[in-house]
Amino acid sequence: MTDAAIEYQACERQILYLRATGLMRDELEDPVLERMDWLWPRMDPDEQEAARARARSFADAQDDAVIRDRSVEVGGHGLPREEAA
Amino acid sequence: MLVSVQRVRAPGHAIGLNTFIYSHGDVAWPTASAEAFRLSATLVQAWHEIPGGGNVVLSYLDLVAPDGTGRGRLLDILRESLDAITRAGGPLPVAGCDGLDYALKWQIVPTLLLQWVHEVKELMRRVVLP
Repeated sequence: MTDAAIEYQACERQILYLRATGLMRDELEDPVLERMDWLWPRMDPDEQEAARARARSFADAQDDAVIRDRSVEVGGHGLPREEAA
Repeated sequence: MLVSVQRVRAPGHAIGLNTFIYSHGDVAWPTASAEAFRLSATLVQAWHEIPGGGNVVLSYLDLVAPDGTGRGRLLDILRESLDAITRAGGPLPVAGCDGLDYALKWQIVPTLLLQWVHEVKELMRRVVLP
């Protein structure tokens, strides 16, 4: 794997983490996206295709239902989470 | 017993791990260990980093084992499960086979999938160190 592909995946993880945790802000995301643009032509075609496939799978997964937690008191029953309607 | 650990994100974006321990009471352990998830269980202890209710669940891990399972056995179960999950290459619906005295399942939101190894280890740590 090229150094560019390794760094590209690190950038992907950073973006995904920011989105998952709700910490995404333009000033945090833009420098990472610019770095990914710079890295892209330095990756092999196979690495680029793998990155496209990852992007597609994550985009598809965004449609999954969100799970939310629920309050459970000591002495109560049921798991502390429920599927969103 | 059922130990449930979940990482939640509050509406204000605070993130934390909440841990819950349930007791099954005096019930017969099912032949198929995964069936133990269906047993009635009563919450006996809870640790909250984020108050529960309405938060987004980013990941969770549920472990069922007979009531009274000791910490040493729990550590063995977690090691076995981590090996099984790692061999499978990611989240499993259920780790644990028929005839075993435990079953484990865990989930993670897709956007954290690339960090699943770190995440499952964090969740497992909370099972024994809530």
